[in-house]
Amino acid sequence: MTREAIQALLDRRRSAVLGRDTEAFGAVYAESAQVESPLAGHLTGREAIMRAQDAVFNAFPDAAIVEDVALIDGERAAVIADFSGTQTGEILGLPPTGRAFRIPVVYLSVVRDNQIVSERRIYDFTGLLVQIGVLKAKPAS
Amino acid sequence: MNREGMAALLVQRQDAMSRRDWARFRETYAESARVESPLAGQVTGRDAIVRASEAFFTAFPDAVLTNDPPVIDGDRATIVSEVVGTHVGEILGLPATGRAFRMPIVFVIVVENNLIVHERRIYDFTGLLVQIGVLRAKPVS
Repeated sequence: MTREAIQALLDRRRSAVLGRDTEAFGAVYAESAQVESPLAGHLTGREAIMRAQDAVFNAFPDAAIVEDVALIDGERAAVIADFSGTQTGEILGLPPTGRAFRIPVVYLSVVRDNQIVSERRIYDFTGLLVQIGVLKAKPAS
Repeated sequence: MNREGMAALLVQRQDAMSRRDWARFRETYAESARVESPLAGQVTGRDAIVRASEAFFTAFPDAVLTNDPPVIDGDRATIVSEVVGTHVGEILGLPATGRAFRMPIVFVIVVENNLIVHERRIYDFTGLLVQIGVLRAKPVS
């Protein structure tokens, strides 16, 4: 794939996130794609990836994502994004807290044949849970 | 900077870090380089960056970083590392807990004139503090 084609694919994913469009989001991923995410765990298959994204849309319906210019190296891409929102829906089986969050997120994707075949997401997951009030953290001593 | 030069710079940085060779590590950063890290905060200047890195390895002297191949795009790169270590030295003014941790970390690097001018580190900082026992986290009921 060309650099331009990978960039176009990443642009489609961002548009799908901003548009809360689960179908469009899923179309960016291969049928058997794998995603590793602190929140969703290990996901295999487009359907599972779409369900997980739908859960994010429901938990944080106002979520905004601002991406830096992607790094593209052959079939690999890295996107660093600022992800923010408010937890107004259920997450991890827990009721909404109404609290806001802002975290940096890194998406590391492998792209083949115009689709993402694997992706790893890295971010301060525990910090996210503390920010939205699902977890309470205090000094141990 | 071409790809080979960038790759060589990243190898020098990683190798120097692994050997705790702070003189060689220092050489990979520009005089006015800036590092943003959840643990160290905003650090500006070669000497301050070395001091922050030394502080990390004083707290976690057995720390080992295992890197994935970097994503290199022009003068930017990301490196994903799996970091493991044990908290046997003071950190954030808090005494050692003797507890181990494991986490992924992303280094987002910008290079100019063959030197690192900016580096951002993204990881589950709150999770690190919980793993080493500096913070205690519990569900908010």
